[in-house]
Amino acid sequence: MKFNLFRAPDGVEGGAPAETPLMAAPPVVHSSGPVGPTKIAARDVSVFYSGKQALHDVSLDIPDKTVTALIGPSGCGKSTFLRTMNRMNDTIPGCKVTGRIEMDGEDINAKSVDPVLLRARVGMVFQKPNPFPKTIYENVAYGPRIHGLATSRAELDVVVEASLKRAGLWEEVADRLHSPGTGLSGGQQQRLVIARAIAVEPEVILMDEPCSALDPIATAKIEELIDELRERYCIVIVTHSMAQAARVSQRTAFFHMGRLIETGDTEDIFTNPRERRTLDYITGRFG
Amino acid sequence: MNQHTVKAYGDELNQLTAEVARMGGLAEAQVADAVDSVARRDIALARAVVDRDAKLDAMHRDIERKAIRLIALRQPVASDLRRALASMKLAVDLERTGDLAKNIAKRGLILAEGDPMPPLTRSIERMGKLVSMRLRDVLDAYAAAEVDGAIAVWNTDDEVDEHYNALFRELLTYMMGDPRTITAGTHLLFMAKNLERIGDHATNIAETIYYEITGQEFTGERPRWNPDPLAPTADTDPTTTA
Repeated sequence: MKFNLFRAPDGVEGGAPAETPLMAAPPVVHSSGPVGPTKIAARDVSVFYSGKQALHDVSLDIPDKTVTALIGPSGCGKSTFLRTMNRMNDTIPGCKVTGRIEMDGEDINAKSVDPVLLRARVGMVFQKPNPFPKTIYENVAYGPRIHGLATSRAELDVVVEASLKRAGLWEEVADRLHSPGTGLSGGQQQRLVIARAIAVEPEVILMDEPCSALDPIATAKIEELIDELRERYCIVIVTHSMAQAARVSQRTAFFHMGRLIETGDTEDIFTNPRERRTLDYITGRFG
Repeated sequence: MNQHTVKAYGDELNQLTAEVARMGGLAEAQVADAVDSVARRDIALARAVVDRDAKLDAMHRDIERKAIRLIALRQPVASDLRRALASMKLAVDLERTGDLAKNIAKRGLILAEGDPMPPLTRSIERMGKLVSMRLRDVLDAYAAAEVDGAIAVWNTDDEVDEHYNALFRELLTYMMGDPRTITAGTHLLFMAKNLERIGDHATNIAETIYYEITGQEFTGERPRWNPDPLAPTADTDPTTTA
């Protein structure tokens, strides 16, 4: 009896999934489930930092009203790609972005697009909660005020309350809106930052490892919040936690060494990935 | 395929697969010995089969415990998850196979008290050999992680059904001809039924292997043997589990 303890991994006919050649391999794209229409379409996006290429020809459709998770090992380009979607890379000296990124069919890198306005439409939440050193109220009111979304104090009150409620923080802070935002716990600060992002009525929310500094309970609250926000927004989340990607997202894109390797329904990626490198990464086989 | 970064995780998965293969080997031996004990009227062998069944039950519990532990502690995904789940499903099929083999051996003990019925026990032996072979082939396919081997076993289940139906008619003829054979004939009928069920477990195992390796559900159409309209068939015989 032949004994094969190292089972043949995914792929019909008992074979391993094909390892596509590293260079110039198109990513594996499989079945798209019931997700929203494309909100952001990236085409051949490459990013160079001082001439060094960090992202190679990434083409990816990000659906609306859906959570898309970007996963991959450190340095794979997932955060770099996330930052191209609200032109955060513009602020880095020596950084060059090529290719095309369209939001609702409009080129976000066009000269006519004001990056400040773009970033109001495409909000961002970072790994470390970064509330302004102001009161809870002011943290949320700041964006609507500078973007002219509320003209009176009464209107601003409504926006602040609605945003805090949507971020699931209202109950906890309603009686201390005028205490400093920095006095909240880490998880509360992260929800405050999310409230600040949604106060300006964005269409897209980018999250760069929003839970990596939080404990499991705070993490669960943020994940629950992400699930609720999905009904209204297009959400893209970068995470190192595969379990989190599996829990919160409907679509997953796997990056490796600056390339998009595979993208598809989260359920498919985590039960039956088509590409060998995806399988190795999600099953913990990366050397 | 690459090793897990956490080596103990890979070791645990390999151990699980090895234990299922070992359990399969024991179940296979139980079926072969049970049929042998009937054919040779070997009381000692039949008793040994009955006693050894507890070992299969213990292995089943052990595999289940280890798989649950692995799922809880390692959170396997993709091929690793399928492998852990397959080990649990296979252990159930093998445990049931063992129970059916034990039942054959017990009936063999009763038959050994009466007169030999060589033509009938020879038919049981032939059917038993066929079922044992299928079980061995499907377990080899598991150990070698070969999808083709599993599909081949899956595709030949109709041979077992054919044997079962032929035996059914043969036994009926005997019992009608000589009512004194009814007791023995009924025991032999149950043995044939048990073997037919073991064949079904081999088919289940083939499907589980297919899923474990490919990640796809096996959706093939099983070739249906075209039965003699007068013979009991899987569709009309209420004792046949689909």
